[in-house]
Formats: sequence, structure tokens, C-alpha cells
Amino acid sequence: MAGYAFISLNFIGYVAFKLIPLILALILSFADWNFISGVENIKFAGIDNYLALPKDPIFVDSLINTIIYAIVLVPVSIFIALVFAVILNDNVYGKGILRLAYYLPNVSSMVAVSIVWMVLFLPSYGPINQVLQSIGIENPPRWLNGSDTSLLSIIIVGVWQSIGYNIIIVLAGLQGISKSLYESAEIDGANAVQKFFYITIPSLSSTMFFLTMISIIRSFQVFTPVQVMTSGGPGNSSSVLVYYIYTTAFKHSDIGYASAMSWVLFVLVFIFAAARMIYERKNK
Amino acid sequence: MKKFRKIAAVLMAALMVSAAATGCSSGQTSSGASSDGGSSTSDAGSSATGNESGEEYNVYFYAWTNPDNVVELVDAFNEQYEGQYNLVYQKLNDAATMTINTALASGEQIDVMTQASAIDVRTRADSGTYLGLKQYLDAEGMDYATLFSDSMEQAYNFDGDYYAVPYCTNINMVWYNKNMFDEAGVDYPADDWTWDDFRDIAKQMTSGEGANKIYGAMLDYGGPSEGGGGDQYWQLIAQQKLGAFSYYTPDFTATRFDAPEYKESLQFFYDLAMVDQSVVPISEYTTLKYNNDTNGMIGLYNNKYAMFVAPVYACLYLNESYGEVPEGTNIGMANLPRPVGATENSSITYTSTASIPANAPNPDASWALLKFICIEHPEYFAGPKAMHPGVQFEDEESTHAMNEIIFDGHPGLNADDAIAVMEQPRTLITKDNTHKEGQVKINDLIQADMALVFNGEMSVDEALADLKTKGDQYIQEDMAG
Repeated sequence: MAGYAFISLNFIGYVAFKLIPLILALILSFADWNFISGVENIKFAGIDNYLALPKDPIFVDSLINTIIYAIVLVPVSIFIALVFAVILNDNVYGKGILRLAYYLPNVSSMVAVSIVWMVLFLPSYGPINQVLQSIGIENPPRWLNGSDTSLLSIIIVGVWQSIGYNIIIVLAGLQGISKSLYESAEIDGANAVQKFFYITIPSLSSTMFFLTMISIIRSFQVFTPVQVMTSGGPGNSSSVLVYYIYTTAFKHSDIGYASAMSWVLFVLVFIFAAARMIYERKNK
Repeated sequence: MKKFRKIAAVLMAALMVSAAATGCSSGQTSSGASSDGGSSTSDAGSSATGNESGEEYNVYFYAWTNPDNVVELVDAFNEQYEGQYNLVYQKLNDAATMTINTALASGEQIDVMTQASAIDVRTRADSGTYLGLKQYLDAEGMDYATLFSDSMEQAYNFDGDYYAVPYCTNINMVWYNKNMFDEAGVDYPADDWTWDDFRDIAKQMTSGEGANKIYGAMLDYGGPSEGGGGDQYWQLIAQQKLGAFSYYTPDFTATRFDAPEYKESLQFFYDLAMVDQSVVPISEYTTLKYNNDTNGMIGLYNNKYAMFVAPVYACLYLNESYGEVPEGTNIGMANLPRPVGATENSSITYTSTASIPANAPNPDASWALLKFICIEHPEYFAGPKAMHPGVQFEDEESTHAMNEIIFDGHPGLNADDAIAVMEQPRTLITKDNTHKEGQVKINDLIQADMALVFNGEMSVDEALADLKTKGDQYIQEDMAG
């Protein structure tokens, strides 16, 4: 009885704020509805919203951009985090301060951070391009203002922000590796590189898998930097799925179509979440 | 002991659940009588739904205006309707579509809602969110076209009824920094200047490099939107030449992006931005948030650029509450340049409007407020916001009195000079676009294409061809649907 009572609060929250909205979004994805017109004006639209998705060039662009964002950000941010975590795991001077410094972006307001990055990326006199020009690059990138570099700029900010969290997770994984493994390897004559590739990396496999899945799921949900820094532009070059869902739902008030896109996103995220769960169960 | 711990655990959990439930339910009961002390300027505490009970009826008025600027309105309205109605002002965060739609869908009591987007009025009227106002206008013997002009009547007549009344007309003018002109030895803009003159002056006023570059002008020629739609001033010349609903053909079945006026207009602003580089580039414009008019005026008096195209209400941002205006600031206001060859001045305007939600509990009270702010006493709402009223004044005296309210008391601005310019004759062309077929998609396309044009990735001809092809397609799709 006490157990049920304790979980009831969380359960009520889950039902009220996750399960019911999820089901409502599914129902609305088959409807044509502007939410200010009231519930009585929901019109059943069958699968029209889903059929329209592949024909919508902005949806297709946004989906591709989201996938590119995930494909680039996840390995890059994990690789950098691994390098930093290995360094921080050793006896480094000022380890605590460094850990704090790397983690700070993760707890900073993404809106504030995005505005700072906008200034850094300014093509005309932003610090990044000034550095590039000072080392002889005559035509530095236009970053957020170039359709070929806007998504890359968003990815750079994403990598910068996610490294801190990734370092903490990798560090936890590193500290869980038994020192006896390294001692045995040393006795057998293994050098630092061999120890890294034959002990550290295999021992971190489940940590890396967890991190990869979490990072992919987070990547599919990227929104704030796009909203603040580019509004999806220039053109639709940096539009991502969540941003397009947001503008469709709240700027154009097309809740049905936005719900259909939300379910596409849900299915994508669900696939990765399920893969993670299956992997964890197998490992148990 | 073990049993006691179990009982305590159950009790604690029950307490947490009931606390949460209480929290949720208390939020629900507040509906209809919100009393947000932070944004309400007056609240008698009464929530009667009619005055049969002898109590004053609280009229809830939603707008995004700074509460300081509605104090006079609240006092004047409550005085006129003492014992009958009590105006309660509720401040919205901004005028964005989402903000207003969310408020309308919230279930809160809203007696009068305001908005700055014309297409939003159309969308809300079509969805049954707003009450038709013709019944009230007819009952009072009022004619929409006579009150607000023929072009406004054309824009806001939806199948014979009206769902919004303009409370202000925002007229675009050119603000300029007189000190910068004096230092550069450049003459102030003439009353009959043209866009070519504007370009010449912008070139003359541009100097420096990099972070220290001073631009000739700053205007939202093609930047991304912030909250709502961007101004997209690259259309100004086309709008001056083609009139209202400029990008639609007169029968609304196609776009006019292939018209020479559109080519002239876009080419002009492209040359200004990309060839002369005499206007703030889109990258800086976006980063420095100049799409916020407050920042636009701050940049002008801080000598970042010499001219600033913005509506009349920009003079409000000279007031201290929006930032510290440097000693010696001297801002002038000029007409919007006329197209080369035009013999008269003209300006592009947009209106903000007020509507009555269809579920307003006391429509008579709502109409009383709507009439008060939009028709009878625009000086109380539009005036303190430095906006011209939507209603047309019949005599010069009233016009002059309104201009005094608008232009007096702004540090760094000579009100007499500004009023003298304002009272010159000009044709006002509204850019309020309430035609629904294709519009939302076309506006999104304009924003996407102009970002490419003004970042140097798309030519003027390519952009106009794209707008024409896809714009026509969007109109046809909506007409077919």
C-alpha cells in the first residue's frame, strides 16, 4: 500500500503530463485543427497529415538536417569527451576546476549562450573570423549567415554544450575500470596505447553505448540554438524537426500537421530508446 | 515501530498526493477572475457577470502595452463608466501569434483582445474565435469605411462583417541623427526626397571598417522575424507603387512578383545592402536584435547609423524608460522617400486592432471598451504609445492635438519639427494583408528567400522567379482546397 502511495504521485504526473498528451497528439495527428477554434471544431482528416509529410520540402529538409546534426554531433562530442576524460582521469593539476569548467556549458542557459555564440560567429567583425583573417584566411565562413555553414555552426555550439555532460559520464566509466587490469597489462609489457585500446575502450563499451543513445535522442530534440540563432535559416538550411513542429503548431496554428510530425519524431526517438533497452537487457 | 513507519509512510504519500491535487485545483478555480497584481493596473475585485447585481463588471483588456502607458486609459474609462464597468488591464508578453492564441485558448475571461497581425485577425475570425462587430456598428449608426477609410474597410470586411477595429495606424517615417548629418556636412532629408536621394545620403554617411563601421541607414529590409513576421521593407517601393495587397493581382488569383515594381524594389535594396554596403547587414541586424524597434532607436542615437526607417512610435524609445539618451542627442524625422518620378509623398502603414472574443461573457461591456479606445477616445490608448489612431479625425485641430500627444516629451526630439513634417500631406497605403489564400506560405517563402538574397546566395531575379512560381502555386492550392 505504501509503495503504491509513493509511486502514485509520479504516476499521476506521468499520466497527466506525458501519457495523455502523447495519446492526444496521436489523435490530433489524424485531424485538421486550429486550437483557438475550440475542441468542437476538430475535423477528422484521416491520414492526410501523414501523406503530406513526404511532399513537404521543409519537413524533408528539417528531417535531413536533424539526422545530419545527430550523425555529426554524436561521434564528435563523444570522441572529444573521451579524450578530455582520459586526461582528467590522470593526475592533472587543477582537475576539479577543469571539470567544473567543462561542465559549465551544460548548466548554462542555452538562450544566453546562443546569443554569445551569435556575436562570436558574426561574419563582419566576429572574433572567430577575425582570428581566421589574422592567420591569412581571406574569405572566412559566413557561419550562421551562410546556408552551407549555418547547420555546421549549430553543431559546433551543440558539441561545445554537450561535452561537459559526456565527460562526466565517461569519467564515471573510467573510474569503474579495475586498476588491476592495467597493472596486469603493465606486467605483460603493454604500453599506454595498448592499454587504452585493449583495456580502456572495451571496458567503456556499455558507457559509450549509453552515451551514444542518449546523445542521439537529445540530438533529435535540438531546438533552442536554432530558434535563437537562425530561425531555421538562411532559407531553411538550418531548420530542424522540432523547430518546424514548433512553427507549424504555434505560428501557423496547424496542430494536426504538427502532431503528425511529432509522432514521426517520437517513432525515431523510440527506435533508439528501444535499442538501448534491448542492449542493456542483453548485457544483464 | 515497523508498523508506525509504514503508517507514517502512507500518510506522507497521501499528503503529497493531496497537496498536488490541491495545487492543480486551485489553478483551475482562478479562471475568469485572474488578478495578476503585476500586470493589472486596476482591479476592484468584483467578478460579477453583469451589472444587474449592482456591482461593477470587470472588463478584462488584453494587450502587450507597457502598463505605464495605459494608466490614463484605465482612469478615463473607469470614470466614464463608473458604477457600471471597471477596466482591468492584463499585459501580454508580446504581440506574437502564439502569445495571443494561447491567451485566447486559455479559458481566461477576455473581454477585448488586441493584435498587430492582420492575417491573424482573418484566421481567428474564420475559426469563430471573434464576434462579428457589424451589429454594434449598425446599432450606433456607424460606417466602417467612414470611420477608418475605404482601404481599411476593404481589408477588414470578411463576408460582410467586421471582426476587428483598428486602434492605431503605424506610419513609416525615416528617423535621422542630426548630429551625424552636421558632422558629415550632409543636408537633412528634404520633404520631397526620393529613394535615390536616400541611397546617396546613405552612401555619404557610411564610414569606417569592421566593428567601428558606421552605416548610412538601418532598416529591416529582409531580416528574419522575431515573434511575428519581419517588416520585409525591401517591398516598400513596390508597395508605394502598387498599393494595398501589393503582391496579389487585383483578382487575388496570382502573385505580382513578376511585376517591374517588385524588380525595382528588390534591386534597390539589394544594391543598398550588397553593392553600396551602406545599410546594416543582415548578420549584424539579426545578432544585435535591431528587429526590435527599441534597439533600432538606441542604435540611432548612439551613432551606429545615421538613418532608421521605422513607424512613428519609434519616438517613444527616446524616453528614459527605454534607455539613457545621451546629452545633446538630436533626432529628426523625415518623410518616407517617394519613388523616383512620384509627385506626392506616400507612406506604408500597418494597423493594430482590437477584437471581442466570441465567448466574451458581456459583449456590451466589451463593445463599450472597444468603442472607447478605438473610436471615441483614441488619445488614451494610441496616444501614450505614440501611435496615430485608426479612426480618421474630421478636423485639423483634432489631428494637431493628437500629434502633440504623440511627439511631445521625447528627449532629443524637437516636437514642433516632427509635427510639421507629420502634418504634410501624404497618401497612406496599408500593408495589412487579410487575404488568406496563399498568404502564410508566401510570407514564409519571402522570409526564406530574402535571407538568401541578402546573404548573397540568391540573385534578385532568382528570388522573384521563385516567389512568383511558388507563390502562384500556394494560392492555387488554397483556392482548390
